Amino acid sequence: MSTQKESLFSKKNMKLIKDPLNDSNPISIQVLGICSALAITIMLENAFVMSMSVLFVLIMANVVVSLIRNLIPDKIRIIVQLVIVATLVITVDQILKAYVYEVSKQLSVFVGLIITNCIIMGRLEAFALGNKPGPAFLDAIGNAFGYTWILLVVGFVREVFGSGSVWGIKFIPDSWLIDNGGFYEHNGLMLLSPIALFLVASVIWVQRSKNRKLIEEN
Amino acid sequence: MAVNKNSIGYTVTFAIVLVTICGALLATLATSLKPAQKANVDNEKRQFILAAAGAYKMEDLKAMEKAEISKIFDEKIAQNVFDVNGNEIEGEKAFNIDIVKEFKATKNDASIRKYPMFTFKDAGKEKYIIPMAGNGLWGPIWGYIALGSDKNTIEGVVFDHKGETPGLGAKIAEQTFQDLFTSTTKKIMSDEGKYYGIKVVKGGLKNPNHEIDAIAGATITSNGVGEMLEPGFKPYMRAFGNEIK
Repeated sequence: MSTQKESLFSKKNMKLIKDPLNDSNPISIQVLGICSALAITIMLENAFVMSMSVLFVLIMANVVVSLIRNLIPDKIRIIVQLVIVATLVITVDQILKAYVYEVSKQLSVFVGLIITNCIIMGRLEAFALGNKPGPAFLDAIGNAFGYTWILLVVGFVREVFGSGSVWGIKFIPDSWLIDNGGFYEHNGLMLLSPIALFLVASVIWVQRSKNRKLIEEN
Repeated sequence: MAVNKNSIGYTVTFAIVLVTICGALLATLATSLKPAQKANVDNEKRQFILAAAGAYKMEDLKAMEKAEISKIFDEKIAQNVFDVNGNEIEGEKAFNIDIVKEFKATKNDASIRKYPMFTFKDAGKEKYIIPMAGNGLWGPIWGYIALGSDKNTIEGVVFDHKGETPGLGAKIAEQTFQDLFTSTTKKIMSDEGKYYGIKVVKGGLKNPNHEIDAIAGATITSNGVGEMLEPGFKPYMRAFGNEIK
């Protein structure tokens, strides 16, 4: 670490935000946190609430772990991180249950499973333990938004084609549906988890075809 | 004085302090959010009961304020609690019985179970809403079944579950499955006065008035619904004055 005081918004620090949005995206490049990306992206609203929950947990955990990084005994550092993450996740879960009950029901176990979201443990272990709170905060924002935009894209596509709505607002009139004598049918596959795998893969494909450096050699 | 971060004493102290802080935070949070969470659960229960009664659509209920739903509920719903023989238990409020907890607590002895019932009265007509709970594949399932004023024909159902598989068992909570109960006549008792309940069967209905098609791919959840619905109406039928063994 340089002794010189570094601005929080220096070029190096801004890279902490920008990189995870694109070239080191936690989902499409590091392929972490996939299970929640598959499970809760049926509707845009769920994807959004899930993303915001991850944002909150990741920022708080990154900052808290970074603040006490010099106090944490090495031998129990993983379990210490887990306790902090678990506390934050339960906080989120309780708040969702109290204020957005419907959404919390749909997210069901996946809020609890944020604890095991590899993005969070990954950032704590790789970044927060060795950096100051400021950069850890930015790193958390970068990674959480890297996660968010992919979830929102997948959620948007799945909701539009699977339910004919955006954010719960239907734009395909019921009279168009084949059941009601029309010509349109919602794509049922979009409502099932596997389709998210194809959509995430498509994102990965587009991203790597635009930036060939990202393609692994083997 | 430099602290040895790797000493056992430091490690244990750190762990104890951390867990105490986290525990205290969570306890405070859980206590302060409890009333809001309970209000949500109660509100959902009222929504289910009113939706099963068929007087309101679920979407409309979801758009309503909690206070409004509570007002409608108190105005139009009467409550009774019965024992297994259909005798009314005095001094119990049906709404206060958590049907899933009651089911679990009396799993081994259904004869000591309390059976709540809600009666919906509107425009001189009555509907009897019967809550039930059972076991799905991953956790409890429950439902509210509304019988018409003949105290026999099903006029509406709502099911819900804790965590059945989306796309398979979770279909019990979907309209398509719930419509099976009302699209053709389903009765609890035959015209001759014999008790059938509702069976969930595979491979075609043999007794269409008392049977429902199972959900393909969700055998255990479907069986759970069947095990819940087949015997579940007995105490209520006794309460309605039918002779049932």
